[in-house]
Amino acid sequence: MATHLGTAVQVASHQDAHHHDHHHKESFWTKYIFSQDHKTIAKQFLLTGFTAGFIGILLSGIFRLQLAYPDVSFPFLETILGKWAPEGRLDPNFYMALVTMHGTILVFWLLTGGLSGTFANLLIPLQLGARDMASPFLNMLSFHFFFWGTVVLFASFFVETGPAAAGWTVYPPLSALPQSMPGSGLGMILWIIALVLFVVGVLMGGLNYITTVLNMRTRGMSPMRMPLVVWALFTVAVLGLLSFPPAVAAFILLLFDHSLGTSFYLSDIYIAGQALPQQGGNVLLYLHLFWFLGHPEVYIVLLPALGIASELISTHARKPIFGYKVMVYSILGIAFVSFIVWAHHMFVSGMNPLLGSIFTATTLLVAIPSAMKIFNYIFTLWKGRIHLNTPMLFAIGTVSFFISGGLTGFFLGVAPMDIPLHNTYFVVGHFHLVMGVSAVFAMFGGTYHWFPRLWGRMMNERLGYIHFWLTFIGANLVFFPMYYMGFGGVPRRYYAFTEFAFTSKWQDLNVFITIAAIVTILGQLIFIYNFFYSMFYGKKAPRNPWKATTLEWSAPVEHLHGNWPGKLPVVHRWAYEYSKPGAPADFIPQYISDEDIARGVRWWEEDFDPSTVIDREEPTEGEKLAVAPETAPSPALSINQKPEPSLPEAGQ
Amino acid sequence: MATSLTRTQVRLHPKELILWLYLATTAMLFAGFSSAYLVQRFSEYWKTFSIPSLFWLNTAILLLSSVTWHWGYQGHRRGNPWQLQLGLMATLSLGVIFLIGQVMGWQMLVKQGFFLAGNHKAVSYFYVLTGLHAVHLVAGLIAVGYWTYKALRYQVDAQGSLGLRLAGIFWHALDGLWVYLIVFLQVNQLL
Amino acid sequence: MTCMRCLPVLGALGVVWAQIGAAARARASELAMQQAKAAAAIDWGGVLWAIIWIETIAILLLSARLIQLVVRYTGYDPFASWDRDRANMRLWMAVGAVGIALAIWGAFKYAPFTLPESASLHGRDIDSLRSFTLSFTFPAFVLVHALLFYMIWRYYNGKSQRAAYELTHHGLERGALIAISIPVFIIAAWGIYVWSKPVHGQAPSEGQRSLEIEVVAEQFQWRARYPGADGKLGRYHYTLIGGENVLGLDFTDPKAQDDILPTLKEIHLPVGALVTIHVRSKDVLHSLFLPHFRTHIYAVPGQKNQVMFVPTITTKEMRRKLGDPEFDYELACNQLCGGAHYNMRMKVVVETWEEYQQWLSQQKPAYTPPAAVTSLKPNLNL
Repeated sequence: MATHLGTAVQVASHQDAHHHDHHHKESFWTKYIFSQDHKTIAKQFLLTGFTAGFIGILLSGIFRLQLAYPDVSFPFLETILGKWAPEGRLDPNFYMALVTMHGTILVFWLLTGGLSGTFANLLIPLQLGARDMASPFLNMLSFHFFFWGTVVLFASFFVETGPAAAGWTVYPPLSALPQSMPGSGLGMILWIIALVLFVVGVLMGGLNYITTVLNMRTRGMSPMRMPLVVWALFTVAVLGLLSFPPAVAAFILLLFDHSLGTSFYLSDIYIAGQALPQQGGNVLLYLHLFWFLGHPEVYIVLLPALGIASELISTHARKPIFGYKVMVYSILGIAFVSFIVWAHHMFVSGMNPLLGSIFTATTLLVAIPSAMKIFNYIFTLWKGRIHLNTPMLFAIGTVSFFISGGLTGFFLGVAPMDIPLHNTYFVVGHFHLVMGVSAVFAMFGGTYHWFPRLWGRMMNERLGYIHFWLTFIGANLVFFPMYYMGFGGVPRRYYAFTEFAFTSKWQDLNVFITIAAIVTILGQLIFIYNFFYSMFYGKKAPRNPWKATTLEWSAPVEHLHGNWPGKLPVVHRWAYEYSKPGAPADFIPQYISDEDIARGVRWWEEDFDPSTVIDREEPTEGEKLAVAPETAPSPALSINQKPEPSLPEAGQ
Repeated sequence: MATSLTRTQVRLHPKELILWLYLATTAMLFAGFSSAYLVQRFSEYWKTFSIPSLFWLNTAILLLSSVTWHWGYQGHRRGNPWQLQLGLMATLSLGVIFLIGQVMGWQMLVKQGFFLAGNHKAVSYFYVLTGLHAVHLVAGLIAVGYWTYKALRYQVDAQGSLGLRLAGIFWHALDGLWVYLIVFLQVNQLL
Repeated sequence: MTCMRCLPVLGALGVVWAQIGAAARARASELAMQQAKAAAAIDWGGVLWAIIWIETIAILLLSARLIQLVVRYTGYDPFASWDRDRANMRLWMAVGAVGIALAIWGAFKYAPFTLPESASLHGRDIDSLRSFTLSFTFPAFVLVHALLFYMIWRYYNGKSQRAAYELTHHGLERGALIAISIPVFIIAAWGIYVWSKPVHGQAPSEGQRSLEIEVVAEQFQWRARYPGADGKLGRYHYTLIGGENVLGLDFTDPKAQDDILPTLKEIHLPVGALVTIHVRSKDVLHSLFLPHFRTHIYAVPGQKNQVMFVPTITTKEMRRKLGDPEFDYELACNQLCGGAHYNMRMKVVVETWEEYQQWLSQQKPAYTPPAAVTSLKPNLNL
């Protein structure tokens, strides 16, 4: 049944037909595991992403401990890591594995799969007024590929030689030569398999997101009425579609080099007492292919976060988003520019210096749309009525981190300034603030905001405040000092800073960062507790707890395949109708028409049932026509039985 | 087709749109490989080799399979199930023949001493690209096989004709991809 | 009811007591374990740590539950009278002010820890560009945050009763666009200018000495090679590596026969000379990072990379300037290359031309004729 929800023809037919009468009973498996319902899939992505992400953050706690106390033995490490921490001292190779897995899990699993997967699945159909994704079946597959990718990735912790350890960028030849480090053995192969499964999952999701946005918007939902988060998720899906495949090409070639003796990236190598036969390979080729994904990937992480921040800031400041068109063009501008900046990751790789100049110019262009977005967030708050509840705190946190992190892009994006800063802690601080913490905060904010939409209950506000302030202060204390270390030239991915005079000066600061990090990590337990507690025992949420305008709050929260019990909502206004002068409430939902207002519909009341408005809508002439072929018996075009000789001609 | 609900909607069936977008990702995948190929083509270690002419015969076979598919589909649109059955069976057989031909072609290369492993990158890329195309083609064969089965049981109706059409688009795209690949690979051996 | 009001306090005391108890028990068992450890095969230290962890988590959960129960059954809620928006606004103000103050304080506190002034010619250009950029980004960081905090302070729910219906403001948008575009264009233009000044392909100026050396990276050390009397580096091939010939020099090339591999793992550079470093790697990616010279280039297997710079400050002079008699220039690896990546150190000494010549004359050529014959046979493993 679900698959045929997806067709445009039927979307029209749902307008008046009560389609869900034959709602057959679902078993546990079809309801929770092999669900084709976008809301359930969103929950699956959220839980998988958060679980992976929390493990990833715990890994960082372990390696931070090593950085702060390189000479101290921690016996509990041996208890949990076994041979990777003999005598309680972390093995340097395993340190690299921890760093690699931390990066991979957080960049790909939490902030790409978790963030986009959750909110695109939840919001695109609900905010656009669609019954489900264009292809619910593909959507289900998308999660399952993602999930099995997760399983393979975590399985690599249990192989003899340990997980991949060549950094999340897995640069060859280190990643291609098992003799160069233990992590480049089976762990590396599993890493590539996990990534390919992940990419397939993400692309299946992306195909669905794009198609749903292009094809399945409800009546009246013109592009310029769409919420910004949908714009962002749509753009991100396009980015993923164009940038992930070349990375897969790079990984496939890497796998051939790793296991099958080709020489795409390998050349002139003498390792472990042997000269390898490979010649003529080109390492920079891998770097180019990888960063052609790698840089858009940054925006694949960031844009949904900024989209969520737009929703949250506008809703909780009770004010229309400032400069909506500029925001849309900024999203598109950032997306376009993200494809022509990748080589700023390679300024000192020995590529042609001319490219350095070109990519400096293109890279700094990103600053313009990004700054416009920041200004628009601030101007949205201007003259607003800012409700400082948990989602809003996290949204403002996102903006704050985006400022602190974004400004330092000026140093790294300019080729000469990048020379002393490349691969130092300056980079670590920069990307953690601008795309790491900032996106995580948007994800937290979005979770607090849409939790009532997902589970029908509110999360605990007070635990939310504690969680926010602890995390906000903690994350700043962890990552901001890294800028100072970067100006000291401290290189990243160092197992210990004791070997160099210019790095060992920073030991005290490293201890401070580690303590801040561990406190912040433990603070996330508050969120986990709040999340699961509220899921079962939280306060029951009203239909539209935040008094928001978008369509997702007009659908009942009960598990309902098809989202709306009756007709689909029809959109009469844009997504940010807050505090309109003359309106009877400080928000007007998108499905309320001017006639409804004149009729005296009281949508702001807590027990208001939106379907009383939605089901009043009459189908347009065009929709009536569209329904016709559906209900009429199949025309002669069908050949589902052996035809008679005199079959009438049929055309399409 | 459905009358669109808003004027701005794309006038394509959602599943067809998904297919086209999927083909775009495949195009980007092979664009990634092609750019890698072009980067390495200009290195000092680059050597050329001559592609066995069997691959050109395979090209003709695959092109023919597109023609038979189209012929069968035209029959279906005119309501002629036998033509559809014949066309699909021909397409399926030609596809299988193409795959067998590819394997034979690879064997010929191996006999000439051109292996995947080693420093002859033109050969390595040839194996990788044609192999990846073969993997895609197997997926295409499964789709065509499914519709052949349905057609032989007279189960292709108006509803099904969408799926049939999409399978056709996919098949033609694989055909186009192959033509691109063989021309790309051949041109780079000649220049 | 006053008694009821004590309950949260009692709860908090209970938590503290439990913590103290846990710590005391942990300490006591630690002492006991230390004695038992010598005989026991079980890793008591690990068990102890596990107990402490579990206990900490349990205490946290229990105390959360305790506070919750107290709130639920007494009806007493110390935060009920708090105005959510005003409280959070005040926290924003406090955290914002302290945060910005800390950021500025940190900049002064850690300034002496950052890299000293550039010891190379082109590094000075980089440093002045960096100072300029910093003089834009740091105030921008403070100002934009101040603007953000101002909005929170001025328009939080309570102080602000009704939001304005403000869709956009062309003047503001245009102003923002100009405000960001100006620094973008200045920094980009300046950056491209500094970059295109011949950092990578400069020629020696009149009367300037020039020197070409090679630095080779491998897991996990650096090796340097100096040209002999002919001033030229000889050929090499990676298949020739083996035995004594650690760099794979091709001794059939007369230019290679006088090449010098310093016995001590140090790089010596004459001050004021145009130094070209040829960088290559024997195995995986490495990166030649000379932070004090603002010089950085990847060592890529199969690719000939080079980097040029003019050292301007000798080690002795730098020691005097920094007041640190232990100071040395250091060469670090800055591209993940394996387990001991953090350990790839080499000392760099900048000295006067005379000192440099004297040091060089003490080094011996790498070439020893009889060994060369055997090492010419490639040990290519096919």
